[in-house]
Amino acid sequence: MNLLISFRAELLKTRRTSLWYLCFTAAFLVPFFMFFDYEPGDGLNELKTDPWNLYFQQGQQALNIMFLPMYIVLITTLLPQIEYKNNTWKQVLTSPQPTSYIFFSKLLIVQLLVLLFMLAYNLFMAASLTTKYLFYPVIDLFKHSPNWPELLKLNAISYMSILSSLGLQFWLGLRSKSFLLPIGVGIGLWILSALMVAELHWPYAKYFPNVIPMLVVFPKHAPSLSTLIWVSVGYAVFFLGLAFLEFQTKKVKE
Amino acid sequence: MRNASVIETHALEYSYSKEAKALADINLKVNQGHIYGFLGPNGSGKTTTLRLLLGLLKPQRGRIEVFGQELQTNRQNILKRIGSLIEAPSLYGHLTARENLEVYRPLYGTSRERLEEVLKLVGLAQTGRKTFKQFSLGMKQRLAVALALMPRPDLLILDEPTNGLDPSGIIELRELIRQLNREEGLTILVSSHILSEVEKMVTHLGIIFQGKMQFQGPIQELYKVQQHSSRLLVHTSDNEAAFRALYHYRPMRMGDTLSIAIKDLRETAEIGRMLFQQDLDVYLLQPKVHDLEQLFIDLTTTPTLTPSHA
Repeated sequence: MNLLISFRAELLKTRRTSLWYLCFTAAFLVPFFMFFDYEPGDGLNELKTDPWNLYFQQGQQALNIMFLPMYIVLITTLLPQIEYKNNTWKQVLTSPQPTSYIFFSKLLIVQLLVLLFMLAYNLFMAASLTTKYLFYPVIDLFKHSPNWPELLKLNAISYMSILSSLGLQFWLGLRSKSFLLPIGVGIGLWILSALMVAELHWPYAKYFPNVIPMLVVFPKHAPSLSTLIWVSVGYAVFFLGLAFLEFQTKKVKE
Repeated sequence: MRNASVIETHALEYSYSKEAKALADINLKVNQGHIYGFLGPNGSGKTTTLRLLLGLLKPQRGRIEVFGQELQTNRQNILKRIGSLIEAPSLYGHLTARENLEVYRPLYGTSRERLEEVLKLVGLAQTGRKTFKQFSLGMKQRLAVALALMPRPDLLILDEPTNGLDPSGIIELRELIRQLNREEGLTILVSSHILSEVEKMVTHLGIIFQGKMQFQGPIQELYKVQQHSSRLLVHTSDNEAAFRALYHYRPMRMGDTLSIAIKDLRETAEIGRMLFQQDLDVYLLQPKVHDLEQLFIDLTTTPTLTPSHA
């Protein structure tokens, strides 16, 4: 028995679920809206100076502030709901596999969905920009090339900064039979975070798990980027540890 | 090795709250080759016991041995040899019959051929792209049985497997259980809250009520208890004379009547003859034969009737 077999079983359960449609639809949204951004004139003049990097940086802001947090809330809720909705927890927990494998397989599926989302997002962004170039050749896209290390860094920052809310939502999703509770908490925390950043300017906001992905996209927080990332990782370890302990001890999930 | 113990619990206890014990001193014993009917009304502790046996709950007191091994320390090895169906069929509505089994197949290390074999056995090999949620309840139950059988288990645990099945489905399932026991030597623990449902297929019975075992043993033993609990009510023109005449039947006075334990209806005729020989006018000679269902109701409504077999 190894983790791979448990992971394969978890993967098979996601077949024909909304998780995969959600992954690609959500990844398509930012590139779609970005296509209508940069109006002809000043916008395009600015874009043509460094199209690839400006386009992706702009995209990351929309991604981190809204779309990625919402996507995390949805997938971490929908994945355990497969078991709750079908009343299958008991069958899963009486199959001959360590409980820890079930937990980590589910966590790996979430990671796979996040990484696939990021990959699809990048491909759709490239497609969006290329299509924009076809409409506005003034961008002169192929005279420039993407700054690959910078692009990789942007993706890594997005991924690391979202880990805090991923940990929290994964814990909530796993322990809640109700579909609405983790969704409600996720959206509520997101609204609170947006208020903290945009309206309240609370000095300790950066220690709030859901605020981190919003802050990392603002240049003024660049000096404290590594601190923010470490706080995010710390929260992820804390919430996932809590989720793991609870999952191990409370085997009947109804 | 037909008498080797497959399940043995020792003084098992479990409480969901401090106020009430869900299980107290449960000493379950299921031997190899038995079809063990685990009976009790809803809320009597059946499901809690089965959850403990499957490792879904940890015993707060007592021990559980399955296949001669401690469940707590050998959970995975034990679960590999158990097929289970817990309450309602627990499978994925968006997957087909084949996909549902494929989720579990590698976990049990069984072959694809075996998967096809069990699908054929339960008559679901031709369901194609139809998903589980489109199945009838009977089909769902049969697929759950297929899953339980897929790993070629040594022990099958079925929690209320006939729930929601129509009469023909119940008969079909009963036949399948008997066939598996007869042909493959499977040990089967089947829970139910209806005695008549399992009476025809089980070799042994355990009756639980309010978290305590009321009876455990071969079904023939329960028939004996049933016979001993049948009584004859007698009322004559002189009950004292009748009491003396029937002394060796150990009659009991119950108001205007005498109550006598009888083994069968022939004893009623014998007693009648004796009373006539004593020139007594017989006003009442009423046998009250307990059928098994009545006995089960008595055992699971009035715990004071607990026989010594528990």
